[in-house]
Amino acid sequence: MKMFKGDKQYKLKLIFVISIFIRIAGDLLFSNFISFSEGFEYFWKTATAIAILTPLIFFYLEQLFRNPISESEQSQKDFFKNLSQWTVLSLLFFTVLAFLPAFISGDLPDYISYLGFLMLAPGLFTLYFIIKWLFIRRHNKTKRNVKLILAILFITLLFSHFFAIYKINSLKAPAVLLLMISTLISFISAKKNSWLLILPRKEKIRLLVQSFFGLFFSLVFITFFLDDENIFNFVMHKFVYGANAIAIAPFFLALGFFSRLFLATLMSLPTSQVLELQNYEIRSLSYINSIVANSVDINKLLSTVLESAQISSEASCSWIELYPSRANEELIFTKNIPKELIDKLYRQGNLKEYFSKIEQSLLIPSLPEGAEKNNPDFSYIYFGKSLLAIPLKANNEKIGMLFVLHIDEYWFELSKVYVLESFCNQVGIAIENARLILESLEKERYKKELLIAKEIEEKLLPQTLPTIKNYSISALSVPAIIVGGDYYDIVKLKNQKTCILIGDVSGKGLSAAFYMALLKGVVLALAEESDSASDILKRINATLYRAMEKHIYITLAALLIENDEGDISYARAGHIPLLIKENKEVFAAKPKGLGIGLAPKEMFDSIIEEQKFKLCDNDACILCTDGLIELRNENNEDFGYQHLKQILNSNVLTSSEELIEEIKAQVNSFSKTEFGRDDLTVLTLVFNES
Amino acid sequence: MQDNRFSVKAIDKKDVSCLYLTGYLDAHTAPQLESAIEQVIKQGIYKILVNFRDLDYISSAGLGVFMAFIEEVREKGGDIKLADMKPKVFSVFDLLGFPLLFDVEKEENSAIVKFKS
Repeated sequence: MKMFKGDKQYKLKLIFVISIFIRIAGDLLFSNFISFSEGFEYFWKTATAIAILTPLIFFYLEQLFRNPISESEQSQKDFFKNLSQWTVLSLLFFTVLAFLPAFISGDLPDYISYLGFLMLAPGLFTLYFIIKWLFIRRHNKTKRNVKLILAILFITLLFSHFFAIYKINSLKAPAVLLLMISTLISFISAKKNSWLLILPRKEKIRLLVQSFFGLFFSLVFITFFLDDENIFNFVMHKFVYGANAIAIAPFFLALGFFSRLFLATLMSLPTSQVLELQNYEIRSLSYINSIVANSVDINKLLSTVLESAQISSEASCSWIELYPSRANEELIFTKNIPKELIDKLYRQGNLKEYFSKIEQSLLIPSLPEGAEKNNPDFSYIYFGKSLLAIPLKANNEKIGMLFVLHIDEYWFELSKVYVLESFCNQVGIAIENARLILESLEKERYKKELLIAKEIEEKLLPQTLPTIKNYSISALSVPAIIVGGDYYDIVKLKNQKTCILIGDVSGKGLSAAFYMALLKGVVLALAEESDSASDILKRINATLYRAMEKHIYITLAALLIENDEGDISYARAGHIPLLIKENKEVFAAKPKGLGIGLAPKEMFDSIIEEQKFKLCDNDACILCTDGLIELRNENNEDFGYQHLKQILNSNVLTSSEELIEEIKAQVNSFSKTEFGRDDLTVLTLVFNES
Repeated sequence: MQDNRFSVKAIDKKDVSCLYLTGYLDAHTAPQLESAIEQVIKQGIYKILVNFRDLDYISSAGLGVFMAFIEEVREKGGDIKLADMKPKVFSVFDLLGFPLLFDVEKEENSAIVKFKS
């Protein structure tokens, strides 16, 4: 298809060039060697002119209908460029011609007429340009108007032709009148000019100049046409009678078109600055949006915000103040002004409070006057003479303020205030978004760190339990959702006896977990020095009392396996009682003892008791934390001691593992949901006589 | 923010400030009791009686609150006395050995009398 089109254009050009050659050759021949009648001269000129013009017209028609609608702005700019080049060149050409001595003396040679057709090209191009432009921005009557215009041009051409041949003066006036009507039609048709409004000011000025030149040249050519004695008409008639009309008629259209364009551009010029600002806002907003989407760097966001605000308000400097919120600290970010200065401005706190109460935009057009009334702190920004402060809001809540400052008074007009206000609406949301993203990232990080803490805490508990002759020990530890304060360990004391420890740090969460880790370390250090259940507890209290915060305490119990014959001893530091089956009798052992960290060494040591038990075959103990006892089910019942006592009473369960499994089963059937469950630790010890 | 599960009401009875606790005292509600006691101490009152009549539950964090203040109060010549506990609440105090450190009275009046002696 394209090949074909290219081929067609090539053919048109070929016909055009050949026709010109024939015309030149013929003219030379007829003027120098062969004399011819007037009628033949008329026929010759008309025929060759049609031969030259037809490919030219077809060429433009082809161009016009190839892509009549989808021309870009860029190609329109190129049109303007071409048009101005063509017109300037032809104008120059005629000006030079007018001053040729040969013409002044009236001896212009005949062949100068060949150059006349040169003038046809800009004329046709102008026609093409205007019609194309009208079609691109067409409205419902454009097609009809263009048809009308073409009809007028054709009639004018005929009028002009016959006027030139037969010198019928009465034909000239209607021709001019018709052309003037075409001017009017093109003026009316070029009405879709709203695209002008969004052009940047620079572009508008350029368009204004271009349309002015279009207007000017159109007028110049039209005056050429109106003057019969003008060299232009002379030359054109030499080419073919009435050619001047073909060349000039488009400029009548251009007159209408360019005046409309010139007026529209001129009218839109005063609003261009505001529109340009808004245009800039839109672009900077989309830029801010892309930054928000791509990064959580609030500093980068603020820096972009200030830059945009400063450009759009043409301010000298600017700063932004974000109020502290749940997850964010107060933040002051500045541009073109030292941060220290703004800090100083706020130091008194007076001004800060003044600004914090502002819910609407605050414009101080003349700072020294306006500011002094409100606050002398403004002296820190003595160089600024006008200030605009706009609150930043997100979800109807004020999250900060944006300030722009200028060194001239009365700088910020109302239009700038409006533009900046709408800008700030978006900024508030953007900042809030960035903060939310940051917050959720931080939460995610905390979550991960908590998971690590939980993992570490789980590793602080014994990974394997020792095997002791005639005894079996099993443990069940259900950690809390986050970290907790439950602790158990099995250590060897000074006398190589095995000691089971179980404890619970008061409170919850990370603080309990830290103290649990501390306890683990203290136990490891002190076990080797201790020689009884109460002794290790005494030493732990002596070490930890005063080492912990006042409101923190630890409940701890120690069960010492004295030998492999079932002798055990038990001491308790505030911990919940030991459940024991001694000689088939189940009871809770509760020797006296204060919690660790509650009392100084003397008092603690004087109160703590130690109880001794003698286990028989299949006798057992259950040590647990209050997480198990206080376990609550859906019916608001506590797990309590009763279930555990029943389990101990059973004669079927003869190993520590079986006991643990039974406890696990009972816990699961007691409470279906795991929600809100505290950490929970159970140790079972069973004596099996060999 | 007031927690629905827990409340403290302070009533001054002569030179003794009585705190009436209601509901659940645990890690979440303990700060409420803490600030209530702080306020009493700020007024220069060091004779503090805590009435547990309507308290249904106390956790380890709740017990910690009393430990945090007892030393300071006693240094100033006052005391924190505990009274009117439900058996379940008392057993928590008892297990930890609190009755050895604090005056835990059955009734409010007997505690007030003890402040005078």
